[in-house]
Amino acid sequence: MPINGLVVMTPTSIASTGTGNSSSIGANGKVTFSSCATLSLNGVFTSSYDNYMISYTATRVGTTNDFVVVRLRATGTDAITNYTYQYLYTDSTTVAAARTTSATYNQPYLYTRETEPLGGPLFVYGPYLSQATAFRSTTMGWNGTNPDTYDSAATHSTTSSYDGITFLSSGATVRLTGTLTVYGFNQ
Amino acid sequence: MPIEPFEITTVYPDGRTETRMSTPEETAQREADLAQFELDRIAREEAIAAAAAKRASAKAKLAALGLDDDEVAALLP
Repeated sequence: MPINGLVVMTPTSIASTGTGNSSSIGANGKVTFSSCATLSLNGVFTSSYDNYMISYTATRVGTTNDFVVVRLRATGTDAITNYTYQYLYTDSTTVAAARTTSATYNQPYLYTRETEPLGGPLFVYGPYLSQATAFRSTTMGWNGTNPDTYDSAATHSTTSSYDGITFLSSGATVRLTGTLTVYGFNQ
Repeated sequence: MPIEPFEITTVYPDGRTETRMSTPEETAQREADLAQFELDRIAREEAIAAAAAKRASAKAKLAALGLDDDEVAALLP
């Protein structure tokens, strides 16, 4: 009898870019990556589950402030249109917010400073369904001295089915190092 | 700035790997992405700086109205 809860989705393959990058898929489905400019997960969204959570933690190596963005992916090709994202950023008492429409990606994760931590869940609602996809993330970032927060909500309005997702670092010299696991919500 | 074609490495759960060079389309997309990322980074940092400046300005105006530091902090922590 199936147990309700989170089910690890092991990618059918992963693809990475970046000078000196490496990536691997663990026996438990955890993806480990190092020095990646981009990291694509294939075959993690299936007809078995509607909704997913990606547990992501990373540091980055670079000298400028950057961020991590994502794109949905179908049979090895990224979707590069029709994203809209809204964010709310707080750093102590400083609060900033903005919305970007007609974007070429979703921006779920705050940029972090050099080699410092970033982590948080990214929820993905209905990526494999032939309907628009919704995203929600809450992220712990780092302002150089203390934690800060970055909340993001996003949509991808194309009503196609997607089986994967790509993470991209936003700088030419910035690389992502960390781990992630994709979970399906079993009902 | 134009970028060169780059390697894409695919890894499978059994440890097999395949490496290929990016196609012209993939290279062009990465180049376009990096240009957009830079615009987004600048916009983000300007928005945060603008919010902090407005906050400081508001605090100064409240102080000029006669509120003491604790009263200003109560309104704008």
